[in-house]
Amino acid sequence: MTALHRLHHLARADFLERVRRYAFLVTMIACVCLAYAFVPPNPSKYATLKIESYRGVYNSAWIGTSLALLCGTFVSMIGFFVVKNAVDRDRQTRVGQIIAATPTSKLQYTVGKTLSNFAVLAAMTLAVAVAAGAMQILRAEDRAIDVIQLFAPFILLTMPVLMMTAAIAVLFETIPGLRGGFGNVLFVFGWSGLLSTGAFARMDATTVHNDILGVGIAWPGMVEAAARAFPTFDPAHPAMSMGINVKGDGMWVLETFRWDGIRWTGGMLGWRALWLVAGLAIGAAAAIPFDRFDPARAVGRVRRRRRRDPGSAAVAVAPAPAPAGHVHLTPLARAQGAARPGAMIVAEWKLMTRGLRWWYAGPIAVAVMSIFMPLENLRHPVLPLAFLWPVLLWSRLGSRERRHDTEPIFFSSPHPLARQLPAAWIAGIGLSILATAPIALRLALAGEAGALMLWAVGAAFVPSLALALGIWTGSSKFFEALYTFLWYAAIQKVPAFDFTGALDAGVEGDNAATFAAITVVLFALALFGRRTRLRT
Amino acid sequence: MNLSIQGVGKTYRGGVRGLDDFSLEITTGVLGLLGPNGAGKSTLMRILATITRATNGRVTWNGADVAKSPDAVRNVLGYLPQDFGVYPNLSAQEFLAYVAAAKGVGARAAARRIDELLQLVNLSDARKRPLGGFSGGMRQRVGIAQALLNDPQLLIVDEPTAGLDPEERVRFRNLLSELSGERIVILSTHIVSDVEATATRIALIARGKLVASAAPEELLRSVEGKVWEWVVPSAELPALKQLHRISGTLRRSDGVRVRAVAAERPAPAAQPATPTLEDAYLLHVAPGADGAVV
Repeated sequence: MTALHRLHHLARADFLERVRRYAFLVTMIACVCLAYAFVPPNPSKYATLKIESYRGVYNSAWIGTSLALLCGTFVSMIGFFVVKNAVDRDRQTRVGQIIAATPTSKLQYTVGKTLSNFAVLAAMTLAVAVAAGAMQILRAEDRAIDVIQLFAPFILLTMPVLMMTAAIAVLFETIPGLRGGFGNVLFVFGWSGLLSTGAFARMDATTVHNDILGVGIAWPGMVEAAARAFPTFDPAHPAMSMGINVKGDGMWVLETFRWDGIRWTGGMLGWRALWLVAGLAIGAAAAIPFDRFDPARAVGRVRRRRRRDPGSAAVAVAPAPAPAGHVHLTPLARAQGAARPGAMIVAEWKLMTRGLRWWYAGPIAVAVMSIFMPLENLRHPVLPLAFLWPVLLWSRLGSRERRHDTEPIFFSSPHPLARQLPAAWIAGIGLSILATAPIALRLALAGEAGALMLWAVGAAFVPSLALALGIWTGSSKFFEALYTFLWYAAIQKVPAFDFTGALDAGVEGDNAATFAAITVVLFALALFGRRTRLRT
Repeated sequence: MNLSIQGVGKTYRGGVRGLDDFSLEITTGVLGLLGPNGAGKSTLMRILATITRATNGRVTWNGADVAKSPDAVRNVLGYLPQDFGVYPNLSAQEFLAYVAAAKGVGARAAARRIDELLQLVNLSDARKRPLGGFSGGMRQRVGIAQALLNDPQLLIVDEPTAGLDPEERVRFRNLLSELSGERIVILSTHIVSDVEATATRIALIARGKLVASAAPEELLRSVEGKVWEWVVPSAELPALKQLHRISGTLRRSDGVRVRAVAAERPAPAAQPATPTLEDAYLLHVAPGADGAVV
């Protein structure tokens, strides 16, 4: 079997395993919805790609290019969380052990996984591309479909970005410290930074083609076309906007101009090919830290743990058999089985915070700052930062039983819905309180009743979100991704997203009511999700 | 104490039938549920443990419908699933304390019970080690301990000896025998020797259906006069396997001693042999078996 043949089958099997899941169908439907949302009517409450108050006529060139750029931004970001489980699945299913015993090299494995990730992301993009054609006809500003102008941007602009995402996902999975929630949060910040510094720094309309998104390839032509159509438009300093821009009051009424698409040059194609190759190179580089499913590679971590806890020997060595004496089991009173909510909450708390001594440094730092810092600074940025600190502990809520395969044990215990789920939720709230309580105390002392109320709601909202997403998705990463976005909007002082009480913007009451309602819905969804799972 | 299974069936997505019109009355003692891989044993175990719902039929515990009031069973249930996980960062003691809280066992009683159980499964010395470092057999023993935490009246163990070494396997069999006095123990396995050592009653299951349910002695009687042994040249063995249900072979200097299950004497040289449960299992469960319910 040639290396290429092996690579092909590795990627193909992984791809088929993923696309045959129900979740993939949901992802594809979400992609079509995304395409619909990315081509808003005119006027509209929000705009996607615009230059000041202008945008191109919805022809194949504009729709293809704008959706390809938006895909590069959104699909690459969301897609990371969709595909970042290729290696982990092999680890969990123990298929990795089988693969490790074959002649497949580490390089073939990581490149194969990169290609499989890429194929999944490409399939998602294909759904957007097909929907883009439908949107052109639906919006009916220009019904003439130009297949090249419509699809070429998806291939040439979006695909290299997706290859990078696919490869980074594999790389993160092979590095122990980045495999879990920390890697997810790091990716959100790092990737946002990379996209914005690479793309938006080039908005001066100069012809630079080397940014990862390819904005520098499309942008100058768009600006030129706008300048030709609108003499009052100053092309020297155009304000580009790409994303979901909600207009605070009223509607966006954008003036339109005709743009006929990118004139591709050899230089442009070269840069896109270079990004594609760079992605593959990252996938290949992942072979270096990849442990090839060797449990012995975890010995370093176990040794460190042993040093901390000399009483605990590490690796699985069965204890010497005890003398075959008779062991008496004390019968339990039949009243056992009664509810012990306190004990259950304590047990959930211990489970959540086990082995995380370092974690308490955060709440201690917040407590110390609460003594010395002015309230204004405590509210922003310390309070939102304190709300980020427990993200990786919250994110285990709801999905832990499925991840560790303990469902059969707990689902066959008495009242699993009434006992274990609320206990986990309350432990999650306890975590919010522990992380942020000193600041809440300062708010109370300062008589900031509105902010205090919002803080209390926020303390319940976050674990509710984690619990609901954990139960419905069976994974922690969706919460990690969504919460990081939400938190980012909150720390960027977007009033509607303040769930912490950090802003003094007069929205505390409204936000408290909104987030309280969302919290109730989320908790109900969590209960319903767990009930459904119990009944399957 | 009575567990009643009445016409229970389970159909999975795509129309695959895991269980088909299965009925059985179970009272105190150890019931060995024997069947080949894919016979429907684990499906039945999951239904009895309230993990899965039956598509049709009903299961009652002391008269209460398990599907309608699952907590009636859960309060008295100990369940060791065939596949289960543990939280790798918890020690055995912490994990058992957590399960005890979920089962509603009082703190003091739980502490004592965990001590006793860890001794029982021979994990006292490893009680403080993270479960992530445990071998498969050690994890299985933690699974056995958690199933016994609430002193269950109904103990369901699905392939419990998988991964255990011979010594632990013997310990576990003895434990099951000791526990069976005032409770129902259901032991699901495809290892006949596990059942032979402990079961007071045996149910044979194949292709989702109950094919036999009887005391071990009755099962043995059902195969009396149908087990034969004789010696054949090695070269004839492949052809013989096509003709008869062979339950064992032993190489000898003069050929191969063959053991077969057959209603009639399979060869002129064949002599009647003392039947074992394995012979009975083959008679009732193997492909082409008569399937007669004892």
